[in-house]
Formats: sequence, structure tokens, C-alpha cells
Amino acid sequence: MRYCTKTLYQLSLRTFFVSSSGTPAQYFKALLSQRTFSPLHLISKPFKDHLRVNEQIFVRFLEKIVELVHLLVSGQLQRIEKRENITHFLSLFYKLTFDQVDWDGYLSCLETWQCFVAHLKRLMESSQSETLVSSYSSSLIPLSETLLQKIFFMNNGTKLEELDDLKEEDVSLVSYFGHKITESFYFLNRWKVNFIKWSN
Amino acid sequence: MESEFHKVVQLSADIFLSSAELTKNQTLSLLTEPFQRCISSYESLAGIFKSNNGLPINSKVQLKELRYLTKDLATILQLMGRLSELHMKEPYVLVDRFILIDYAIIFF
Repeated sequence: MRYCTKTLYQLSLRTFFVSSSGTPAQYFKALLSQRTFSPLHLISKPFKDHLRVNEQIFVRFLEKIVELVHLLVSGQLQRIEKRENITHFLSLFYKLTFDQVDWDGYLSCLETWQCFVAHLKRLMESSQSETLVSSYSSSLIPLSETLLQKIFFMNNGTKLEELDDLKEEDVSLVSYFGHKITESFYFLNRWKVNFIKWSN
Repeated sequence: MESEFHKVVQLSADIFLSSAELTKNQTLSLLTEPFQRCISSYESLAGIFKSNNGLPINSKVQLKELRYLTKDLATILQLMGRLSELHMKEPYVLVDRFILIDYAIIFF
């Protein structure tokens, strides 16, 4: 509990420094050190249960980390991307994204990833840092794969049910879905053939 | 109004598409397995529908599976439609992409 509260204050201070325009470049080097982001290792549920931390503090703790990472990625990426530990930082953020306990937190993390890929696209378009972009490319494939697993009902149905606006009790949907299936069957069949050719 | 589900799918699709551009389209193969899985379930359902003149759904579990299937297919179509830009030439994209998105909208 004390550890969590103390870390929360530290994170608030860091967020303040990162959002300030006058913060010197050297600060970001220190910020990306392993120690700063050690809380990212500790966000898992077993950790929370072990410490028996207050639910409210734990949620604020998570929000603060996500906010800090978002500020770093959206506003300071040029300053931190050449640091050797950026890959480690991103792998921790990847873990944080997919360990989020609620959808709001997950959405905030997605917004940060969106900023990150937009930044990479800008770099690629300006063809300034091709080596840098290609070094990140390999980590984008696992990211895309996990994103897909998260949005497909076949993999993540129980969690996605929380967001779904259709209720399963609505039996009238059966005939609706049935008609849609036959209507689109011939269309999809044509696409299946094309897609298999296309992806090979 | 955009639902939370749409926001999650939309943001994930944006990141997926941007990654596809950056990784020289390697992400397309990630869609093959879920697409083939969906389409084979879909084919068998369409066969059942044709022979029974309807779908004999008797339980909530079956209805849930049907909803999952159509939602996933809609998501896959949306992603494929947007990925088609990277793989096809302009005139073909414009026609087929809009047909795909149209189908995705019906399911959502």
C-alpha cells in the first residue's frame, strides 16, 4: 500500500516534468532507465493481490503510468527513440497494454500505440530514419497479432461481451442473421477464392 | 453514436493498417487463419440454411456462436477492405473496397 502510494506520487511528478516544455534532454535519458519503469513490471493482478492494495489507488496508479507513457510517446518520442533502452521500454508498454484490467485503460493504451505508429509512418515518409523504422518493424507484427486476438469474438468473446450492445436474449436476431448469411454467402465465396490467391 | 466496441475495433484497425504499411504488408497473413476459420463455419451455416429454409437455432449458446461468427466476419471484412488499398491498384480498390465496407456495416 505504502509502496503504491509513494510510486503514485513519483509518477505524478514525472508526468509533470515530461509535460513541461523546459525539461532538459538529459532528463529523458534518466527517465528511460529501468528503475523508472519498474512499476510496469508490477501491475499484474498477483502483485496487486499480494500487496492487498486499495482498489482506488491501484486504478489511479495504472492511469498515471498510462498517462506518463502517452506523454512520452506523443510528445517526446524524438528525444527518447535513440536511447538504447527504448526497445525495453516498448516491450514493457506492450505488456502493460494487454494486461489492462478494464476497457478504458486498454483504449488509452491503443491511443498511445496509434501515436507511435503515426510517428513511425512520418519518419518513413520523410525517409530520414529507415534503419530506425525497420528496427521497430519486427515488433509491430506481434503487436498486430495480439490486437487481432483481442478484437475477435472467437478468441476473446467473454471480455468483448462487456462492450457489445446486442443482447443474446433477442431471438428475432436469428432470422435477421440467417438472411444476412445467405445474402452474403455467394459474395463471400467469391472473396474467399480471391483472398487465398491474394495472400499466397 | 459510436459504441465502446466500435472504438476498440476502429483503433485496433488503424494500428493494424499502419503496421501493415510499415512492415511491407506482412500483416496480411495474420488474417488468413481467422478468415478461413470464419468462412468454413459460414459455408456450413449457409448450407444448413438452404436445406432447412432457415436456421434451426434451439439454444442461446447457438445464437451466441452465430453472433460471434457474424461479428468476427464483419471485422475481418473491414480489415481486408482497408488492407486492399495496399495490395491492389486504384480502380479495383475503389469498387471492391466499398462493397466490403458496405457488408461490414450491415453486420455491425
